[in-house]
Amino acid sequence: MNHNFNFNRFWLLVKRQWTENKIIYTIIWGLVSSGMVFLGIFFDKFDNAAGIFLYFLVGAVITMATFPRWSDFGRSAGYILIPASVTEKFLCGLFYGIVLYTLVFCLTYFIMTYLVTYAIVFFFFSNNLLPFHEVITNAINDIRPLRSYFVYFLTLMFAQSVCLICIIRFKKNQLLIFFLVFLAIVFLYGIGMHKLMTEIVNPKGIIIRTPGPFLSVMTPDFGYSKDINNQYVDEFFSFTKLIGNFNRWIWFAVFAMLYLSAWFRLKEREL
Amino acid sequence: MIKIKGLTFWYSKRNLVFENLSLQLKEGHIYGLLGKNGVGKTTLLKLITGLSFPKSGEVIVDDAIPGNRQPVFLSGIFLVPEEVSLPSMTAMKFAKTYGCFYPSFDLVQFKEFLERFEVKSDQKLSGMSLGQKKKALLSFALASNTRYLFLDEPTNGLDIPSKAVFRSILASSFSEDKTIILSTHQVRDLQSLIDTVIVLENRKIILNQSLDRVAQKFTFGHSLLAPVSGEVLFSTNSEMGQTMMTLNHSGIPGNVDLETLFSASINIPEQLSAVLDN
Repeated sequence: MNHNFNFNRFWLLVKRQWTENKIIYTIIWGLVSSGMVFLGIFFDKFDNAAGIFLYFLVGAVITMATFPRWSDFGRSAGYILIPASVTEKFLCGLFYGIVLYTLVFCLTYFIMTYLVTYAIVFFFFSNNLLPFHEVITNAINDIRPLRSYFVYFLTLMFAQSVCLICIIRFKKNQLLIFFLVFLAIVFLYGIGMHKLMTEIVNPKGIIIRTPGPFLSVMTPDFGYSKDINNQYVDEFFSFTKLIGNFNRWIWFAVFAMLYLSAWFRLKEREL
Repeated sequence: MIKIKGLTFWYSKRNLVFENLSLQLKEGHIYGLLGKNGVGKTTLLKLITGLSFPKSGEVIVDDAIPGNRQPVFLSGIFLVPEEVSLPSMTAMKFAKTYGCFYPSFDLVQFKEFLERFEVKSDQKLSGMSLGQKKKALLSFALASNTRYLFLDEPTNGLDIPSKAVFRSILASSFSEDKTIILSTHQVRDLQSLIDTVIVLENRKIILNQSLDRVAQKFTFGHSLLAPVSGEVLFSTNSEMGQTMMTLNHSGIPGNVDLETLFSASINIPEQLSAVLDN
């Protein structure tokens, strides 16, 4: 019997996870689907920012539901003592929290935002409706720049790994702690990036804002506006491909470290 | 075999739970783990099952270190905690979902135990009373047929008929290759099952003896009269007057009163050890 990973045991864990949480998962899916249809009908198209926020928020809730409540001795003892390795339990959590969740979220987004919304508008508010094939073409056009979605996927991984650490580390108020930690990280990252950009470009004027994307996992470009003699001037900078790739790998290393840290915490968790 | 060597454990450094504790638990025994509240009975079970890790010393179960939580080790043990928390599914679904993790789990046995406990297999566990939940989990634990079974206050929450059913099921499902540890302070409920008694007190084990040996060395009796000093090793007030523990000069084993033995082990541990180790 393999100590660290055995597919049969992993699959048993996946089935156990579903059997135990199917009602919670279904309720969450129902709420997300309804939210998407609501936004789809009343805001013409499902708003991108709202979608991303929903993606992270629901991702955190799914992660919370996937790992046990550590304040409940019986529940968490039962979870630790399930005859499967920590790696299998951890991967089962990631399977639900990332792989399955992202697939279901994207599929739900497509079905609810385009198909169901179209059907509802067609039956109930049938004036001014685009032809169906045009709606689908728009949908595909929306989905096509996959590269830009990848950054959200990676941000989910980042948020989820932080969430995992909070769940395993703290016994109570894990969701609240996660939000505070996550916001603190984003805030510190923002300040850090702003300072870094200022140091790199050494502007002669005062930086007002950063109009371009932050230096992040997919964007080795950045920009800012500066105030020179009461005139806003936008300037953009681009790193070389090498620095861009280096930046990307650093981000991957951060995810890997956070996940490894969560795995280690789970392994060393005492009751 | 469970080997504990030089175990030290604390939750906070100022309050040691165990200090240099050593113990060996062999197959084919039902151990009764006794001790006052907060003495560390549950903690000891947590250390043996790998839910907590020793601060120093070692715990070894069949050459495995529990803290490593290897699947092979975990599939050979089962812990029934005092506070039962079960998922929202029927008892039968629970057995089918979790039973496949235990190689010797027997679904037929599980159904039989549920029937004997009068627990409905199609009822949701989350809707059951504490006692019903405990009976469902005890049925599962016994049907999983693991080599090591750890039961923390198993009779808490059980009604009187269920306690008798539990004793009967446990006795019938026990075999020589198994080890069962019952942690309890309700000794009367489990007196007939236990063959070896372990008493924890002041961070150490103050008594670890088979009841056969205790019965050979001591006799237990009740009297309405005050004990005559000199003959009686230990006496305590009970609802039947005085319960007394005296030396067994005949060597013919009688019944052991676990409550009196427990009290004696707390109050006169040296005298008890002197007789038992002789």
